[in-house]
Amino acid sequence: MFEKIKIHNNSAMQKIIDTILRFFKRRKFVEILPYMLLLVLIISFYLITPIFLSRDNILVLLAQGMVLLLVSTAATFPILMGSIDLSVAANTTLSGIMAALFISNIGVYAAFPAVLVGVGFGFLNGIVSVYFKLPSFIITLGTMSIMDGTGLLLSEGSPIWFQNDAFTWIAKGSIFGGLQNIVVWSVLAYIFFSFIGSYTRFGRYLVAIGGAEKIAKLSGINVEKYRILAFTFTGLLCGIAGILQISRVESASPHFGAKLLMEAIAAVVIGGTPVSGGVGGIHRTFIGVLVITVLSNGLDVSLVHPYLQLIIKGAVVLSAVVLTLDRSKLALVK
Amino acid sequence: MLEHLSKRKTLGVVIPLVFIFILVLLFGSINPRFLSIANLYNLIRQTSVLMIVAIGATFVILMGSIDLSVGAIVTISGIVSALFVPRLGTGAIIVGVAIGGLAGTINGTVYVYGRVPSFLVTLAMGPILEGAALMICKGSPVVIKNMDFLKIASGKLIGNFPNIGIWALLIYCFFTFIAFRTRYGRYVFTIGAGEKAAQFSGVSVKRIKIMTYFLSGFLSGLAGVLFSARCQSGTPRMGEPFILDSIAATVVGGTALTGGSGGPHRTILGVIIMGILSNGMNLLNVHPHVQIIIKGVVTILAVTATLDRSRLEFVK
Amino acid sequence: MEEKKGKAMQENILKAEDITKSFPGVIALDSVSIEVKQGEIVGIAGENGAGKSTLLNIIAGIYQPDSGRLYLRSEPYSPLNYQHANKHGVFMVFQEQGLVPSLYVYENLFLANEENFITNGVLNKKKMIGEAVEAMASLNLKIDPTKLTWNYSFHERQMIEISKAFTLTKILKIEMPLILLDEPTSGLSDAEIEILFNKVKEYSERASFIFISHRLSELITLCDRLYIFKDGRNIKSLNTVRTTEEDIHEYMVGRKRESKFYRENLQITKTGEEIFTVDNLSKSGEFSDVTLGLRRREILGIGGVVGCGKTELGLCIAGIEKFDRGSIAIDGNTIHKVTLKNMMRKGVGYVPGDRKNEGIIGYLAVNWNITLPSIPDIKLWGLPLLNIKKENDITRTFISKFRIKTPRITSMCYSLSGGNQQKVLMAKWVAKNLKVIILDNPTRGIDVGAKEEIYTILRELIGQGLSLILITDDLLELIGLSNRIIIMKDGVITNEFDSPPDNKTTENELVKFMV
Repeated sequence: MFEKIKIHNNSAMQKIIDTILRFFKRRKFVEILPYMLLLVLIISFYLITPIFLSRDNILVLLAQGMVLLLVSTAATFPILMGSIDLSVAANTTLSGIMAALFISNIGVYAAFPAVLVGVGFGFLNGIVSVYFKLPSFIITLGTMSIMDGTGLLLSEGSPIWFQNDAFTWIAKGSIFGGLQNIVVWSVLAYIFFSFIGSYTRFGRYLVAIGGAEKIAKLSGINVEKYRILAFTFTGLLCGIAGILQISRVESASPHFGAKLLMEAIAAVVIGGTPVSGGVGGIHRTFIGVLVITVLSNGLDVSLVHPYLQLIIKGAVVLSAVVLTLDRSKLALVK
Repeated sequence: MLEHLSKRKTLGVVIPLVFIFILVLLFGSINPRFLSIANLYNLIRQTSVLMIVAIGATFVILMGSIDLSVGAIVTISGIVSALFVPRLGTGAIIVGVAIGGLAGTINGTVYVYGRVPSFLVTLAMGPILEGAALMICKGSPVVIKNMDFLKIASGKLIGNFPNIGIWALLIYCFFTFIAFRTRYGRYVFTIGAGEKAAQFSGVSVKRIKIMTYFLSGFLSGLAGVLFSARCQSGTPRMGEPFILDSIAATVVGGTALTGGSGGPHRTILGVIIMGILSNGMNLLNVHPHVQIIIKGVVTILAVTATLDRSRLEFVK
Repeated sequence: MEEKKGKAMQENILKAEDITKSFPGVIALDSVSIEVKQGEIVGIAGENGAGKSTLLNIIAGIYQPDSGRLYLRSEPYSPLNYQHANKHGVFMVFQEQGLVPSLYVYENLFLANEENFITNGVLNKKKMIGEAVEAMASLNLKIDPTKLTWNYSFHERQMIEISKAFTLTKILKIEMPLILLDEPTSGLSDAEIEILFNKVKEYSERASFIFISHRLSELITLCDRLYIFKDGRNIKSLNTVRTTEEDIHEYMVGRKRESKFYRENLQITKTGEEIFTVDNLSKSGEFSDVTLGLRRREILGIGGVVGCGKTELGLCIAGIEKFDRGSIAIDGNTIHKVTLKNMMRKGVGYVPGDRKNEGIIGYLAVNWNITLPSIPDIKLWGLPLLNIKKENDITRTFISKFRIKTPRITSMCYSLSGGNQQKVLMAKWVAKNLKVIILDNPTRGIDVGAKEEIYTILRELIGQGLSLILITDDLLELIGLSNRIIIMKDGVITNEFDSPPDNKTTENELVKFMV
């Protein structure tokens, strides 16, 4: 009875903003938003420069978006649960760096175990979350720092270059004429994890925990177990993303983390999984990734300055979040 | 119950002090240079900027929120004020704090009226501000040559004590006063301790929240100006380390993330500890990247120790 | 009178023996025993805090009893948690709904029980949906299991929760489930209540029910048999066939009122002129056309069953919630902007019923709590700064005046007992020099000794010239304290009468206007 009491104070500003936001809060709208956005972006960029829709550019666009696809999918797991993982980008970077080091010092096959680094850190996030009982954003803020530092340490602050055609083929070769392999692997991985999200208990329980943790616990769902699992899967995907990333650019650089983090969260939210969790799913993240990738690629092709791009993207993220957040679930916004 | 309470409070002060003592002994015995006055002034110079940012962060955390954009605000205010130095000289300070205050107000407004969780608003604002900063300086550092301006940080008004240290101390004293002797300060504590009951008692929660983010932005802006004076240039991404460091210093000092307890007077302890750690590690030639790792670990440990878990029904 | 289903000697599905459960400071259940037979619909009546919900929570495995025994289908039964209870065929329909709104209906039905539908870790959605469709059909429910749960209304979701019991018992191969209904009618319209009752009666062939409600008419309509709880004890078992609401109420209330307890000798008979007026106040869905006047030095009591609108009324008068129509005036002047801060400025304060979350701040010191509403009134050297000395003086004054037991004035409020916390809450508002204080259940959940002290405080406030509006569920308190009593039912005032110390009314008299 008492939860529904909200103190009103005749704030005209709040009333105006709430009315505008209420229009956007309708669920149908939230579901259509990404598609509408995509359409608008594609048309706009095509009008600015027709090269945008050329075959070559589309292929490049797809390849560009794959790492983001994997990292965003990784980020979706904890977000579904109502948590967040701020370390996904750092994890990807570190996994890439370790893989590059292994390739340079041991051999190409040594790259793959680097995935375990990602898994390890993901697992760490989960364990600390469950046993230290800390809010996930602070834990992952800390582990992000740790992973950033480790990455910088191992790479000594500069990109690690390596030369290995077999390895590069993984991302840049093409099994299907024209289409870079990275697209193939990434899409396969995405489909696999999307399947897990929709067709296993694990996926369903994440939504239940995010949507109504009290009820989930009451029903007998082992919240701790699934929390650890979710973060571990996140780490796994980040590891995979890291390897594909370095295969694509033939180097591992410790510096592109912050942008990737913001884009990943943006993709999840725009796709239809709000940060409050409990709604949406991994299957939705794909469209969000497409929107961001189209935006990035389009801005590139339109020769917009990279710094301006950062601002535009930040603004888009903020707007998307404000519009799609399920405010009814946040009694007190902290 | 009584023992438990006063124990908690005393522990809150004693533990950091013990920590400082141990660290000083440790580093001092490994490298005696650590204990010199010159190094002390070094320490002050190194930690003053963090002190200022951390005070702002403390108010935000006291309220139960967080500000992840402080780093970007430091950067953009540092760069922009550096650009204005040729024209305004020391007057460029005004530009820096104005930018900081504006950014903070935007943060607060979106947080309060958009009802977006604070970590998300400030997480998104960070890159926006960094991007703007990069655009403005076109990616390269803005060098400052104006001696008067540089003196506000590196000069020595009182004996050999660095000016930047005076700034930090003044801010520290002033804002401790604000926290404990003004209505605004009391309301910040109250909102952090129990927002709902605060609302029911007639506190203008919205107004206080926006004010606090303005404050955090303002102080980060000031810190940016002083930092660029100290480094003699405004550089892209220069504020980045402050994001984690300001939270770490606040929490290590004894202000819990859950809000409502602690205060800016404690933050000085946290800043000193973080500073001694860095300073000591530098003297020991610990790799800077390892330092980042260690700081991450320290943050997690500090938060764990100070978090009042009875206040979090569901930790997400 | 409807003929209730005649049932031959039947097996007990549930037997509870001497269940005792206490929470800090309060004994919720005191050696309670009940029985439920197969296919029966058993009701439990009782005031707020009588223990009804607690018993249900124990049967559902959510709470553990301190002592006592449970038997399910004649076997000893001690569920460790709710899921455990489910596996034994015991289900609860929660007051705040036990479904995850963002899942599909069929997903909710089988949540945490998907073992039957898994092959190699993969969920067989088709099978689940099929099972769900069948269940809905057999229960005559027009609910599409492939829709998202939030598409359905509160009432429909209740039906889904009920159907969850049947679907799971079918899978678990249990004969008949025991379904516990915890105040299911609170959020429903009359039409929906009728549908619910028809369904429950329909299903009673295949399940047993325990039903809790505040509305006695519902208990009589729906249930075969009825228990009455009072102060944590099961005091009567009635067959509903020839029972009237008055019969039930007589058992529910009817305590001896001690006039000394309520300090009735201190009641001021000569109240002053009207200082606070509420005129035709209405809020759709809560209350309508409420007109009342509060006189100086008067305690005006407002009573009524839970949900009659009195709490909402209090919130609106205090400026916390918005009302749709009507006006409020103090000292003859209409108040134009009715907001909490404005009402405080005009001299009206509100002591909330939810002490823990809205009243005091547990994680703040006692002195900071007490002075909180008064901060805008305190100055230091003429400046809008805090005056610590003055704050502490105020705090100490009230600690002694109200006899608040606290180790230090800077102790955290959460460490105080319930009674002392309530005193801090009262001190908070009394410190502010108001003219009118509205109180919502000021003695809820505190021990008898502390209650007495609060009553003394209230009388003292009146002595100092304040006026009080007392909104309470405690009828004896209502009668004992008030100069005048207003009774509300379904959002309207049904009666108003005087309550002078020499001619106090009885609970039964009041109850007539409440139900």
